[in-house]
Amino acid sequence: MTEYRHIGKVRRRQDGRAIVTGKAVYCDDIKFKNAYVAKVLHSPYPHAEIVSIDTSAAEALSGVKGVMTYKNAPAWKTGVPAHRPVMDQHLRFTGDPVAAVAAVSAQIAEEALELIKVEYKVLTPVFDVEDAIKPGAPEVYRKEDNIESKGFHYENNCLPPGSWFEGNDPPFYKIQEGDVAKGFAESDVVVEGKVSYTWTFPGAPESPFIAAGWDDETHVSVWASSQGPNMVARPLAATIGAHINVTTPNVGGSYGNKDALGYTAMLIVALAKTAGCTVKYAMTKEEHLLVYERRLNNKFMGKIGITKDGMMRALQGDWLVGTGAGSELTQGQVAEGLGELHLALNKTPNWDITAKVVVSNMIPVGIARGFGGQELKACALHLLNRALKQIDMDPVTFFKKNFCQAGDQYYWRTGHKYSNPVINYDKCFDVAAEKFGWHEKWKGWGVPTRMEGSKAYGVGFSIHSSGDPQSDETFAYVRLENDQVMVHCVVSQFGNGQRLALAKTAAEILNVPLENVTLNESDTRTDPADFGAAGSRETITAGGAVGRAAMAAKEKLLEEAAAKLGCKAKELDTKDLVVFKKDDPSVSLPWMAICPMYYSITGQGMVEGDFNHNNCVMNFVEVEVDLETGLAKIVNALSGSDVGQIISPIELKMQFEGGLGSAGMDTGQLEEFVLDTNIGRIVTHNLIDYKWRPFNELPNFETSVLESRFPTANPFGAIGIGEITGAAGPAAVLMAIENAIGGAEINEYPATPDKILKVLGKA
Amino acid sequence: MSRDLTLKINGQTYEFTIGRRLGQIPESETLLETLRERIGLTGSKMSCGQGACGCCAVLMDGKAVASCITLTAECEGKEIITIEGLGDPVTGELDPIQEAFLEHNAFQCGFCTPGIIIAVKSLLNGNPNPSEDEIKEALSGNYCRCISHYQVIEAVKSVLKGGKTE
Repeated sequence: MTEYRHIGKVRRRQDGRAIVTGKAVYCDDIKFKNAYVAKVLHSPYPHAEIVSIDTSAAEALSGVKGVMTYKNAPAWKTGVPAHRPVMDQHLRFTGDPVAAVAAVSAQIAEEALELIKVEYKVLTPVFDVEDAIKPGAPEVYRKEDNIESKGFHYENNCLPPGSWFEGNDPPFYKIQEGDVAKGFAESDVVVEGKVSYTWTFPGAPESPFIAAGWDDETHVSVWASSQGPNMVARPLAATIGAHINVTTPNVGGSYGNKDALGYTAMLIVALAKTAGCTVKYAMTKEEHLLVYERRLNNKFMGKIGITKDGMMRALQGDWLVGTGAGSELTQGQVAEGLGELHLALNKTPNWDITAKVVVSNMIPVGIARGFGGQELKACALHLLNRALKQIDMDPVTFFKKNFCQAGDQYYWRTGHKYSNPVINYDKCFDVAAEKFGWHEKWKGWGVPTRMEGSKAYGVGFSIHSSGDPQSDETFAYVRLENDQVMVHCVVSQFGNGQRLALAKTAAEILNVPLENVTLNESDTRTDPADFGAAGSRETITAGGAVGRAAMAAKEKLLEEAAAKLGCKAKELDTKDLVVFKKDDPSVSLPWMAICPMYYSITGQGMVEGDFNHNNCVMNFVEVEVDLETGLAKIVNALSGSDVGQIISPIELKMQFEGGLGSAGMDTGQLEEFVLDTNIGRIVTHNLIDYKWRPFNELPNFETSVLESRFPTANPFGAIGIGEITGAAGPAAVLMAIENAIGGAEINEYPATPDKILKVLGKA
Repeated sequence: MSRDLTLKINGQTYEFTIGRRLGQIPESETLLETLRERIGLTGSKMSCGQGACGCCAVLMDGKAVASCITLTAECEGKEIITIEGLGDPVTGELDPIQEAFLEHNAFQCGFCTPGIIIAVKSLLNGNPNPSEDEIKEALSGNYCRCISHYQVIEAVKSVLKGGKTE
């Protein structure tokens, strides 16, 4: 394997010193000149209409700059397809904005909210996805809302299936191929059932933040706590007909969830317009938990047929995808979720699975890592366990037989099939299982690994794969000036270490110390276009674009040096800011002589996306269940993958560990929203009641990582895995819990103590 | 009615008055608001606002407190150190804990990091040789959503000299 100078080596993050000294700047640390503070009045009811609203007292309050309600809000709509207005007389969930105020201080803005008089007509709400699609269910949207996409119309609380993802292709919301009746007839075991995976909070420590100001009639400046500045700028710009420039300072965690911030950004850009000033909106943590976008709430009702030698024959089912009162990109999650199921159960010849995107009077759904596949697979693969139990085959053996291998075709989000002739994860199964001690710990379905007093231990396994790692376009350019390498690629700092990886990539290719590389701050004004951090794509796409830009800059540097030295560029190379002749290093020129004081050498690079590069993460877990209290804990976890080439070893390890939190693995047994259906409001709306994993509850965590140098657009053969490190986790955890407790079936996530005691007949 | 308030923050003395007039600190103002909005020390972060997550932790007389639920009006005479005040103000040299966090890359998004470093400082002020369990217990009031916990524990262990083994 090639020995690199920076790639694969431990390097300190360039922004590390700012982070440990408190100098790193996050959105709310910025002093925005002449900015007013935004506060929002939220609907107290899950479903209601505004009969009357009087904002005159609020407007008259000294220090209030503007008040926006449905009466004066711009007629913009966001969501997929466009359906969610800035504000509406029809309120669709507890927390739906009724009014927004811009004032000189937070205190005055809050005082103004209290002066707004609203009379509501309360309507009957609907929360459950199955209830929402029954005839006569309360209508969350109405025919007159005219929600349409590609000839599909909103009906019976179901949004049209399509998203902008598919381009000119028809929407991808179902897989129908082969003949499921024949498949079930050929199966030795057929199981049927319903599994639900409930909504969770992927939320970051830093609550969502947007500041916005209109520079003129057609230009808006936005500061966003976003992992994908162009995801904030581009769709909203198309909606409002103005150009949007987005700056993303440090982001205090995202986990996919602070990407487009579609509705929040639209609301604040609208308030800035109506109030005629720059406004900043820092959500409180309570608002973050009560009203901000969350993970899908979904149920799978299906039927699975397998042969006794462990081969899939048929899969049939209805996937009810709860998107709450709005869809940020739920249809995209449906498309990718289907693709991810197809990758996992790739050898299935007969399919008939259809998804419905169902609205209800719950909090709207947004983007979250795992992006559809985590939710669908948590359900469908859990149902599959019932069949594996009957043929007495362990899940590692089964998935190795049925998972997508090199050359196999898989569906991805366009509804077309894709394939890679080289990428293969066969070896990973064996290496990771060996390291975890899977074969020693696996005692059979419904059989605990061991017992210690009232504590029962069990193991579980699951797998996730995505077709996104080389998806969509990223552009970059690299400037060489004096002794500095300036990298322009619009990549936010939100914790994944990608900015370090890009600096290393440029430093490696130009063979300079890391200290001589400066990565431009993430800003759409100065960085070229990029789809944004999503689907683990930046390792390949941003890494590839920056790598190609650095190579292009290097070529120009050598050409200009060759002209000065009177030789050919191919005779030259560069190291440590000196260009030299390969066969006689004494003939050399320092960079300062080639690009002196006021001189730039610029290289451009881009990666054109495709879906032919699938990543993979395997989650092995061991849980401990207290049979007296029903409390389940993860005690051992191992995550395995082949990442092609390690870029940053510590950051990679931490990405794997990060799969535990942020609504990943811990949604198997710990994280849960509790809805009070009487008031339609969640009761776990603070960080005391919505439990996260603390420092004194850490499992033993290991990784198993192979480096096969895959043929990707990353210059070193790497493939990203950050998005999916916890995506298979919940399914693995629930499997392990069922094994620990002797095989009693739990079909609703998460396996909290009450559910465990119930199936054990103890509650 | 107004009264004087003297705060000692990162070795500097700040004189305020408590009251409801423009520029005065109202009784209801939290220490976090005073630090971030009046003094410009934005290293302490606002997250949960309820003292549950540790992002706003500062040292008060050497012990970590949640500044988001501490009233500034009650800080008279207290010695407050924020993340910005941990290093040497003259040489710029980092506290050994900060240095260890850098060495071990013990952060991801970094939003909770200042609070975690303050909590570690508070722990070591009272117990220079904590066991691994004591470290974990001392940090149990600091949430980290990215799961940087494992690297944090490695960083803290590296700071200890002659630390106890389990």
